[in-house]
Amino acid sequence: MLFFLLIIFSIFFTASNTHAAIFSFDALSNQVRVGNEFAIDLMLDTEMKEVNAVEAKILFPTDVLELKEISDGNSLINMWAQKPEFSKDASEQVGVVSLAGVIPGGYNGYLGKRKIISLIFQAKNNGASSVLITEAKALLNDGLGTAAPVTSTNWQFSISADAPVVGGAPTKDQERPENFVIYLSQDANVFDGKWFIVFNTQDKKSGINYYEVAEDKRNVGVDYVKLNWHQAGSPYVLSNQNLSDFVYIKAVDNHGNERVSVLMPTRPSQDYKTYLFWGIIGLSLIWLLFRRICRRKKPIQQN
Amino acid sequence: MKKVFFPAINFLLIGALAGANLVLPIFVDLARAQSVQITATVVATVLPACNDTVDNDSDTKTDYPADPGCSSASDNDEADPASASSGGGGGGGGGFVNIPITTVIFNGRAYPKSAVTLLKDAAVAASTVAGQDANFEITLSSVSAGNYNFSLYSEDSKGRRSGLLTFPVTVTQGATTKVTGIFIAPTIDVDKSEVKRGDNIAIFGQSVPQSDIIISVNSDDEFFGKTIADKDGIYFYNFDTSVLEYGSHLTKSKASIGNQLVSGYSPAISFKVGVKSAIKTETKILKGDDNGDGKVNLIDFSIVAYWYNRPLTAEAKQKVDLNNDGKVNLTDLSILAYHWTG
Repeated sequence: MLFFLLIIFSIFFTASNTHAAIFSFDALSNQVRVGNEFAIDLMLDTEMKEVNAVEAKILFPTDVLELKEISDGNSLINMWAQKPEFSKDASEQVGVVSLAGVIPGGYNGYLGKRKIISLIFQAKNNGASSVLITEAKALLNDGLGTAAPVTSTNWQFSISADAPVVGGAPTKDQERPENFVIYLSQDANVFDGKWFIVFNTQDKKSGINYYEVAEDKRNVGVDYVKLNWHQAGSPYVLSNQNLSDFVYIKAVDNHGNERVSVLMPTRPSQDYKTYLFWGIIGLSLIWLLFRRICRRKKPIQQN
Repeated sequence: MKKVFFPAINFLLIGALAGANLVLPIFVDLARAQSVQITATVVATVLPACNDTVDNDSDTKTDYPADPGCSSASDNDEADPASASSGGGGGGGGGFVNIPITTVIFNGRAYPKSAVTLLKDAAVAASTVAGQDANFEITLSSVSAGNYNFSLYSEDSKGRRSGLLTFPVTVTQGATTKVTGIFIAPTIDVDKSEVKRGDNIAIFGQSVPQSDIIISVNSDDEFFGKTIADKDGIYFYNFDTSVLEYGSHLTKSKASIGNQLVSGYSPAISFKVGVKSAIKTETKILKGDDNGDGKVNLIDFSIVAYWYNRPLTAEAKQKVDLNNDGKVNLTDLSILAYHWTG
């Protein structure tokens, strides 16, 4: 019922502008068989306007659809301020995917409509409903962030047991994410002035799923299994603020392919100096002890 | 003052089937009356080792089904199971199959001896130095197939940076995609931040040698001037401000060669017409450069994105609130993306 009201609200308030940025969905079919896994793509047509920032929320009914995967593979968006993430509204009946990102330099629309993200759903139960686009914004690449007029088109679908089986679920991705660089930075305005790193990469097929970080004193070469990985995002505040560790970042795509980049220690470990110091002290003590023993054993010369 | 208009050359599509090389027209751009020609050329034909008419494993047997190492015509390894397991340090590879390399080649015009930087999906991917004739070429190898936003900018001999020229390209697996006809817009600057009405203001910058430079001054009416760049690409134009009203104005420039190749417009820069003249001082602060390293890139984006939809501290307001509205939202990210340098 709640979702039905949202649909009515959405239809009522969907603006209709000529030469507006158009948010819409691409799908192979709007008739889905129960149990079928399928993809729909959120698309943006800038209508030849140069757009460099977008923001939107996608709503769907959780009683008939289960979200299996969100993919930003081959996305128009290069940088996410809010990576597309799934949540539920307070009623638990509406699934929400929120996103916000930018296209540095802008996209002028000459390739036509382009994909922002793919949503891979599984049809759970019979029913007819819509996937909605709300709070959609597209800003012009004019240095002022001027809002372009926006039109959005919802995706209406029906799920039944006798609907034809359609594909659309992503094919197997065997390519690793692209090479990337880790940047080290420090700024008084963020993270209490602590050192942090930033990183970003793309995966043109299935999209980046998550990143993992490992900080370690050792240069493990390519033997990454030795490292103690944990999931993290960019920006990431370094645990070792002395900057004496190797920092490893692993990008993992939605099909499990990995790419690792390494940030070398900016201030190499001072441990060796400590070892050298105590080594010299130890050797000196041994030498002094040896001399003392030698003197004691020296025979008394008799004339 | 004469108004000059150029016919906009927005689209140019080519298509050809040349021998074994397939030339695919993909699309042509571009904004601001610039055209760029993009073609994808399949430069290597790849045949599996078991279907390439070559005895790859030197066992005197060639291809499927004659070679026992081939399980099918699409098998890419002729090595016999027995010989492969016996070690001997070889067998694999073969060296006869052309591995297709996905490459993108960019060529066009910037400024004489200028540094040209290429961004791939907003990250610096390559750079080069243009020749004395302002021509440049950049080759990018090992690119995955897919859709990319490539951007280019250049810095002139005085360190002035051009605007970011961005174009989307679809890269095809195993093909060489050529992006030609790139024409980076001129750099631009003025000698005064404020000019006494009726005095001249000098508008100058750099472009391709001997190119025609169109200068636009935006007021209530738009005024145009024309000059020619010298052999080093330097141009200089004295604009008589008597036609302008008091207040702030913007100026920008574009270049053309032989009235056929036309660049986009440079970024617009502002000056004021008042009752006195003031020399412009070199206090250029790049908007969005939060960490002050002279670039707007992923680091600055991360700092602004950190504050996205969060309450700001007083210090953060000074740095990351780019439109001074007391919050960091999509508008600030858009402003940062506009000033992106990579």
